[in-house]
Amino acid sequence: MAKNNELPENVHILHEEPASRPPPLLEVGVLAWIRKNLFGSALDVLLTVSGFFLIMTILISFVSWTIGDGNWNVITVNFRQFMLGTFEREYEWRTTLFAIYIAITIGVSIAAWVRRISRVTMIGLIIVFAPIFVLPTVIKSTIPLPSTYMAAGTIPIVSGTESNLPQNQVAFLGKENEQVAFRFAPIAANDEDLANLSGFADVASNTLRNSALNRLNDITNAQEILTAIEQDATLIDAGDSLGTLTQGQRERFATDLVDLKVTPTEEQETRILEIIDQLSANAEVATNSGSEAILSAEEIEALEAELLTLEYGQPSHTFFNLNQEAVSFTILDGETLEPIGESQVLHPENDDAVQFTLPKTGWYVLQKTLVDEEAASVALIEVDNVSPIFQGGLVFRRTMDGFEVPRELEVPRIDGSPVDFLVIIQNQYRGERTVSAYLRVYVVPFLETIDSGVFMMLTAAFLAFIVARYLSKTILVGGTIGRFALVDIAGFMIIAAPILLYVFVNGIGDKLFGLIDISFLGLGFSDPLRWGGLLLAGMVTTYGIIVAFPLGILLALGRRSTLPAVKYISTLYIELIRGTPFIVVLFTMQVLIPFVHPSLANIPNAWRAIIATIFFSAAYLAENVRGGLQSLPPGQEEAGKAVGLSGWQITIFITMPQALRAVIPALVGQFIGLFKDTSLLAIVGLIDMLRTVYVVDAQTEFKGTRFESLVFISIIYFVLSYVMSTISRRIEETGSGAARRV
Amino acid sequence: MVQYPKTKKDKGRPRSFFDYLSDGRVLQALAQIVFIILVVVALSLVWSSILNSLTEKNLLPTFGFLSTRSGIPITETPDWYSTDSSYGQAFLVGVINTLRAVTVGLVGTTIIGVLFGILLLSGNWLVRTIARAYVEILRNTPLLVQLVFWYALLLSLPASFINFPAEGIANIPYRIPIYLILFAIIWLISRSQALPRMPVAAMVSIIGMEIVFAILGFDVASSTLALVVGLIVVVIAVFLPTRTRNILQSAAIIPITQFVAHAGLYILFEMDLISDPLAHRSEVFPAIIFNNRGLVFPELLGTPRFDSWSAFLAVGFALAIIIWMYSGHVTETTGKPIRRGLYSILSIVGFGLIGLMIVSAELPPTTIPQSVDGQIQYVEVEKLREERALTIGEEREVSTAPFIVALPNKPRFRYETGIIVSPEYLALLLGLIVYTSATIAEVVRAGIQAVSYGQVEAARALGLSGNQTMSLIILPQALRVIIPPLTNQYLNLAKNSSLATIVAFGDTYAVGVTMMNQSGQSITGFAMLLLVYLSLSLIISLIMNIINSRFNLVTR
Repeated sequence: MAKNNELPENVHILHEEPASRPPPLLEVGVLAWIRKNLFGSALDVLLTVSGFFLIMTILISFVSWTIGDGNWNVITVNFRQFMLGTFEREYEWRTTLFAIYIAITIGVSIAAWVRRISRVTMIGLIIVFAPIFVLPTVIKSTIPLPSTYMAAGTIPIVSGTESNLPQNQVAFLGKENEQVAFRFAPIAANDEDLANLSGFADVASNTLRNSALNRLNDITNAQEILTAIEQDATLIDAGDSLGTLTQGQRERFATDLVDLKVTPTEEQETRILEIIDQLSANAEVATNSGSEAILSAEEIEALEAELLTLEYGQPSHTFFNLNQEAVSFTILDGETLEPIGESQVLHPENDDAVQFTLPKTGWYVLQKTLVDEEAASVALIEVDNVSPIFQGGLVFRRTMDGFEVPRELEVPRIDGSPVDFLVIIQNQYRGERTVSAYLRVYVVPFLETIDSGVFMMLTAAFLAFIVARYLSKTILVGGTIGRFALVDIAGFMIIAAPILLYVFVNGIGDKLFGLIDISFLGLGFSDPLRWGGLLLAGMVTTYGIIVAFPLGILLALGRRSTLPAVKYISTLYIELIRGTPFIVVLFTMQVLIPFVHPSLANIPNAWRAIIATIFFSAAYLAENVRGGLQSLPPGQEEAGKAVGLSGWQITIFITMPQALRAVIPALVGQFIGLFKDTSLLAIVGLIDMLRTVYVVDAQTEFKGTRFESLVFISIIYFVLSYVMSTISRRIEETGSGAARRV
Repeated sequence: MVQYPKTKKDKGRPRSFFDYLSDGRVLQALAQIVFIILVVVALSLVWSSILNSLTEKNLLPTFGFLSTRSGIPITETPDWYSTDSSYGQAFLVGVINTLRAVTVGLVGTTIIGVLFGILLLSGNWLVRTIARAYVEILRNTPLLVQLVFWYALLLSLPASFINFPAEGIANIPYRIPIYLILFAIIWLISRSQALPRMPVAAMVSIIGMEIVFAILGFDVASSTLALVVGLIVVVIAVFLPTRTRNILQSAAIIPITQFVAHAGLYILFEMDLISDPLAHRSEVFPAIIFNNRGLVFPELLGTPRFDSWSAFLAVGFALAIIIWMYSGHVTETTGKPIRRGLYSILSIVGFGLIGLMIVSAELPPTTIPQSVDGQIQYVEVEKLREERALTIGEEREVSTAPFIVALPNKPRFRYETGIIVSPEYLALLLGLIVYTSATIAEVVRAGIQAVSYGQVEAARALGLSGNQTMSLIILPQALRVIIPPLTNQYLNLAKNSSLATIVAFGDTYAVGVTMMNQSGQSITGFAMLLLVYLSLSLIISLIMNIINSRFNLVTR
């Protein structure tokens, strides 16, 4: 034995294990995942690369539009209209109260149905909601307000057919202790700088900017046309019979060039002739003596560029001297028209800004004049803390931070007529917008508009959650009802929500049953014509589903009935409605209801839409319920019969409750579908969110902001539908166990 | 309990009225009669009061108004419609427009929906995520909002957005030699390395690059973009298995080489050795124009020779169908595989070519009549062609081909040739197709996932290829699950086409509502609307039911 175990001489056993080497880099970890999931095969690589480029293109263009172009003030200013329509302001507290009630219900429901909230969810929630409260403060303390540009001067600024004289007096809104500062705009007086000016610009300074832009465009156009003509001429000279242009194009280009040319001043004329002489002399020498040219290639290029600049388009700064004269500033109090402090003068020689500190909140009048009133000069001034103003009804607020003055303060009047202020219609942001300007001017006002509401709802939900959890752990645990009490409370709150919605939104009038005076509650009827936005969508969806529910159940039972008459009439109704577009049903009800009885003609549009929705969704609900009834095993019904229950008893106590539990996900799906379908109200003339898009697009301040509003309402629709469908999917996944507790 | 006469003694006694009443069947019948009476009474009350109100307003429902002048302006109409046409004709135009939207929409949404359904199951994480985002975003926003968005987007396009090919056709010949040489080299390498996919990858790369160039225009920027993409792919390929790497590199070499070659050409041009390779003629009309006024396609215009050519084509088609059916029969009975698709296409193409040769053998007229200074003269075609004075009608007369491809041109403001798709129709189609495709994608995904994985394994064990597994094993079984919910989505699309009114497209609903508003004939209008939409739904579900039953039969 031992002998057999002995190894031959030439065999050597390594008793140490081989040193463990790390696995290949490409086979484990992130790289392996990327390799497997993104670059598995050649087709995968193609898909990944093209998908990446697609996503980047979409994202980059969307983000750059959002930051650079979108006028998001339209959302901030019209936020209330998007949410409530033109709901009465004196009843607005009722909608707020209802929103808080919904938040509380959500808090209690989470406490009742969600066993544990994972840390990831908490962090996610914080990431979503924290910026709403943190961002405004952070941005305000780090990013200064972008400047406004104003022109002061004595001569009108001309750009094309437009001619504007700088205003001497401008009214503005100021806050207590705010510092208003003036300095010359830091531009070298050339067109490139003027054209790149970015910020809010008053009418005159915008004309200044436009004239610079126009001239630069003219020069580029002329350059392009000259190149095209030259190319064409070269080809024709080379013997090509067609050239690159058609005859029509040649003629059009020639007239275009003449149009673009400007009449030069005498001084310029001499210079033009001089350059032409130089160039032609050079060309002559070049053709005669071959290589010996007088001018180098760079010199020729420079001369040609100068010629172009002189011939096409006039530099705007040559019309007048810009920022050469001293400017004097005076600020008057809006009410008393008394000057605040001394007038101050801004001198072109030193760069120090002129500053005023405002003593109180309210209207002010800024007077800016050239010290030398005879001088033909214009000054472009950069101003801090004087910004364009929105005027919505009686409310005036600043563009940049949404700051409002009390309503009773009126626009200052001098000699009886109100002083002009920078209206946002004419003083939109011009030029390239930076990220910081976007954050400061568009994001902060929006967040400040919504943050108090969001804060209230979050706090309410959180407190409700804590209280509900606490109750379930202390008082109710061990009791006879135990944990289920909380579930019952949550269920009760959900059921009560539609009733409260009616009470709060529609109101119950000042007299209960026509007898008891309850006007002190403030629950008077609101005007359904004023419902709009999300509120209208909520009303139509909620009542469209809830009132349709009994009807739907009856129709479902009817369709399963053994009585042919009932069965066929139910089927006919269901199929008729399901074969018709919702919009046709909506329109039919809008038109036909007044014809049914003269007294019905007084039903407002919103209620007609709700009635149509009820008729419409009942058919779909019936099909869902029927699906639930069919999914039940026949044993249930047989067991009911065996116990001796009658048909109605079986339906009410055995089949229907089970069927309804089984179709909860389908019902949520229908709720979502109906919520999305409320956008159809826009077609029949109700001011829902989609119609609001058109309404705000028609406001003079916000012409052409359809995309901004569309993005906003799409986000609202998306978030609400997505959250609801996620919840319904959770219910579906956890199966009947979760549903049974409802 | 119901007492039935059982004994002889009871037989003679007539059953009392109450005996009948306590019979369950009689009770049921009575209940039904009462129910019907209730429904009828309720409906007739509503109906009569509606009629009363309408009579008061002198608006009794008739069909007579259908033949009176409508004056409804509709955006897209057949040639025979004008504002002088009657209400009936206007409504017919609306129905035609609805059908146009629904039919094209159904085909489009099926293609895109199936594509995204497959992408949802892709092994590629990025593609899967993009498809998921596509589905979720589109499903959870209302169609109407999407329609408004598409319409606003189409109208906000620049007046010159996509001209395809952007450069005209003049430059493409410069690139063809480069591609041919490259392709030949790659083909040789693939032969030596036994990698048949390399030429395919190169082909895909060429086609993709040409599409990008056609859209962006061929210039330094797009050429550099192609170079950058090529370089990125090369870098990625380094980390991949050898097989994939070779295929990818053969695809990436194309954009890189085209950049190098064009840089070379450019240097030669700078040295004045060749003429400018990028110079192009502005008169070359693009084939496809897409801008804020819609989409314009080239139009196929038949010449007088088209009729005789189409006879040849018809023979080809008939032969193709015979081949298809016969070889299908042979395969089924003997199990012998026949490439019937290839032979069928060959038959059509072959007859088409033979027909083309025979038809164009006849010489075209060399002169055509032209009115010169008010007099008719015969002018030589060649001369006119040089002067570009041939009209499209004359071009048809003198062409030897059975049809000519008329590129869209815009002499004044309206396109004279070319198929024009208005932004309204385009927005409606886009909205319907994209919105419905999101749901269809989910349906298709669920259907494919419903096929158990054992089926796939079994197919592999039998040695079927990936394509065969998909087309013979998975799809037939998945389709059984897919078709019923798909039918629902088709019905939704048909009904949703009524939202066309928001994009100012004159469909049935839009025309119908205008008609009701103008004539006051609301009852008749509603009846007609109902009729159109119900029959549309009915036809779609009928067709889908036939397809469904066929499928169930085959896979029995």
